[in-house]
Amino acid sequence: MLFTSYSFLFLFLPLFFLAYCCIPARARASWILVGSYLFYGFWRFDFCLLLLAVTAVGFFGSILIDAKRSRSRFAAIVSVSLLLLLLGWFKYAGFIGDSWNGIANLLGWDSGKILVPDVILPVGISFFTFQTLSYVVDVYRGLPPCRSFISFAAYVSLFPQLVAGPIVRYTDVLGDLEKPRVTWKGIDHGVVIFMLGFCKKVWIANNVAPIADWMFSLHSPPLAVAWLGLAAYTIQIYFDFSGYSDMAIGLGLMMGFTFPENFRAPYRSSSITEFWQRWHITMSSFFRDYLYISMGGNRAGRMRTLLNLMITMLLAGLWHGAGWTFVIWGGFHGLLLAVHRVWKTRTDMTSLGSHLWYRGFAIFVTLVLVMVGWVFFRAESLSSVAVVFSGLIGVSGFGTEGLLQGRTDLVFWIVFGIAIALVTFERTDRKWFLSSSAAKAILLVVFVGAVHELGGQAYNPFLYFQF
Amino acid sequence: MNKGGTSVMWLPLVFLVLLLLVPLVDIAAVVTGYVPPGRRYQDLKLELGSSDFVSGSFGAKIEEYFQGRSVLYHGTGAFYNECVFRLTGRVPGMETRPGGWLFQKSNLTELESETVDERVNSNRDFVLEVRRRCIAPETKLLIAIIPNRSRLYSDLAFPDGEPRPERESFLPRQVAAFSDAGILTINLMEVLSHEVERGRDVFFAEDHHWNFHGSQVAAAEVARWLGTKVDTSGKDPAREYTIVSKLDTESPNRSFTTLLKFRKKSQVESEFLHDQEILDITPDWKEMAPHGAQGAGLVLESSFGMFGFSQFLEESLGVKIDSHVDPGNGSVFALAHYLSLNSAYSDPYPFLLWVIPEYHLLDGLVNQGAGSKIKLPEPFSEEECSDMVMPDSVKFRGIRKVRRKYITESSQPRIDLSFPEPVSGVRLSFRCVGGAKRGQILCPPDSDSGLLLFPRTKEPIHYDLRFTEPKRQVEIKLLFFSGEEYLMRDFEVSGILPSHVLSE
Repeated sequence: MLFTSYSFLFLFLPLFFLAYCCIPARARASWILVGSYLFYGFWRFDFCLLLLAVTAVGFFGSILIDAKRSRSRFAAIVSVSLLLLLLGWFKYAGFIGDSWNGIANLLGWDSGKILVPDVILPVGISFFTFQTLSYVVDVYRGLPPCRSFISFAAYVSLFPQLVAGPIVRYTDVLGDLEKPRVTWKGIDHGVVIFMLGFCKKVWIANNVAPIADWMFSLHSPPLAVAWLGLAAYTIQIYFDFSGYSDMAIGLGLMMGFTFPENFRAPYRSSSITEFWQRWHITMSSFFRDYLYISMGGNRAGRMRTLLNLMITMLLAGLWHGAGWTFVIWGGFHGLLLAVHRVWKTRTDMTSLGSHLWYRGFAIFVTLVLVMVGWVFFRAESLSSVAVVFSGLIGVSGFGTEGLLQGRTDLVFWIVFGIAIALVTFERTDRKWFLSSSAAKAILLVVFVGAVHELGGQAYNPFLYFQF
Repeated sequence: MNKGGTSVMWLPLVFLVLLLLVPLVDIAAVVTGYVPPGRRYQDLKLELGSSDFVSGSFGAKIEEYFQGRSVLYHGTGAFYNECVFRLTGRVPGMETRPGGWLFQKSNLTELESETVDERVNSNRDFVLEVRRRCIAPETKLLIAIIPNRSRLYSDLAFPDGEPRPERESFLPRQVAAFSDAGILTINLMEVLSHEVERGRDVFFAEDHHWNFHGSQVAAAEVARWLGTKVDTSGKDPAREYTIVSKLDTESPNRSFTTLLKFRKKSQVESEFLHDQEILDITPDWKEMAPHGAQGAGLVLESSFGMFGFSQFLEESLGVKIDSHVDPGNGSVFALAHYLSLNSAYSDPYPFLLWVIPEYHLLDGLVNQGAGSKIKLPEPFSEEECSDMVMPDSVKFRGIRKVRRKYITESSQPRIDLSFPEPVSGVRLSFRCVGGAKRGQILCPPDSDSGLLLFPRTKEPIHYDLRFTEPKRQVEIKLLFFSGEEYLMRDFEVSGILPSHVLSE
């Protein structure tokens, strides 16, 4: 179910939430579980079995891990392996098979080819698998396991963040899960943040999406078109994903949960390192805590640190999608992080960093690099990547014919999106909306407009659902 | 309660009331059968089956049903647009003229000279190609061009009198280009403008289609013109029609208002601007589609045909004709549909009349698809198909398979093929069983691209794509208008080997 759908807004949310407020706090975990499975199974109920399987592995695995006083390493390995196997089968089987056949083709080894399974990718599998994975590892590291299957299943399936994050660790909701407390203040703040996210998605992300889609579908985009399309996608992905995160955080607050922040004005970053401290924070901190640090982090010498960075980012890329374009995107960012790390150690930034012009220049360079990275992220194949880059450097001409597809309003949304992305900060903006009744009233009007706008939009799916 | 407390209280209440109001009003409306005054409410059926739970269609059906039943949502949407018009006298995205005449802004701008040249020539070439490939030599291909509304009502459309020479010159240049190429062309401008001068409207004020009178006048003109060029003797007589006049509460197609009021799916309509007189003609255009028995000719047209043109033409000619109307789509799609269903050479019609609105010609006939130029299929020869090779792997992206049915999940799905040896062309074979009417097959960057996807067909259709160079890995893109599913069955794919192409 999409947050920006009528069945969610006008059917699921009011009915679920009304009942949620009315039932006793101790019954809320069960109600969350029912609601979340309905939410997840709205399109296909059979995939609820997968969600249940992941939950069972996490729950019983953690019980087994905790059964021994010294923590069972074997149980941890089995649980983690099972989870990775499920993820691997549903998300990466096709990719691995295709890659294998590609290599066999190159080598002319026809007998070595394998039958590639046609597996449907369940929505949000990366998110709920990683969440469960983090829980299993945390239990192995000493966290007391959850003893209530209902509570744990409610944690794994918690619908606000089930399909597109933010990745919530068990410790984030540990205190609230047994008896979630619903307060007027929480609902108020939650509603504001939900409406902000909704408006981001509907007004900005959805309105710039057509021009990005159009550019990436061209066979030879001219320079101006290529940059405009890339700018549109840069805005789209940020407002789409951060909008979804805001809606998830808002719904969480309404229900009595405090989810971690996922974005902090990432396009204002003055370095690629800073970008990853501000973009998809829950994912980057997951990879940092469970992979990068586990591999030794920055404690094993400079070369090893750089290698760890590269491996972490390659896997982060692969996490986003089963395709070489995602791997290259991860590698590209790994390389940038490594270069920035070396640059930082060799350059005295104290004097430079204090200059406003330098910070402006650094923000610009970082943004351009991030945009270049989005080409790999968005393109459907390596040949499409080559096509877009040819456009970006002017190989396909400089023309502006059909630049806006007859939609001059797109200029407004692109400029508005850039302005919002560069000027605002998530937290401070929210404070303004939360503290002023006038601001809330304005937001409510914009939200109602967005609901109305939603009716006219053909484009709606959230980008991060596919991951 | 302190100020902060008040601030905390009101927003959640308003938010929840807002969200609850919609389902409650909708439920009440459904239970009581209430329909807001002046509004029309199309009944919907949910029709959930057990397979919907595992096929991914469960949520889609619920969502569609809920949207369709939402009296409050659609009602307020229409109400909002009405209010804007009543308060400001303007309609967003439209030029509003005296008497409530609406014109789309894009139809009023001046054109670039190069664009006009390119369109005129490419339209001519496209029609010639259609005639060469698809139409039997015995069949006379006739083109009837419906002038733009803004051309017929230029005083209303261009009150400033500002000259737009390129736009004005387009139609005569296109007619001349067709005629010079030996294409029989009927320009309906003269007869329609004559009616306008007489004070009879031939178009709706708030809709880009001609009205029933315009369609009747045009049909009479075409019949008169055909009578001198086509022999229809010995054909079945015209059907007997019943015509009932009524006020428009169930207009078959009011595009501008549909666009303005509902913006997506019109399930609830409201009174807006004008009451229009419409005709209810029985049998309707759907019953004029060719079903075995062949008429004295065939008419292909876009949704202009829903205003009685084919029936009027049949009456004027006095013989039975077949007609294919493609509601809501361009005439190229009507043509594509016809070609997909009929072998052009089996039993040719005496004439094939293709009715094309000027704005389709302005867009370019080859661009009447989903964005990329259309190429008509050049089928593989029998020799080429004698030894076809099957792919090792067929991978769908953006298409999900439910048993034997293939359902698109995005507007730009992809099929990745891997063959055991390089192929010079690929044949896709499938039949459409529903969903999107507009679609194209693209195989960038080195093949015949932009083949039309035919809407609903009874038998599988071959889509043959040729490459400039043999290759093992083939990426095929399908392109649809956003938000529409396309359903396929009996999907098969095979490749042709280079030797066969060379031997050709």
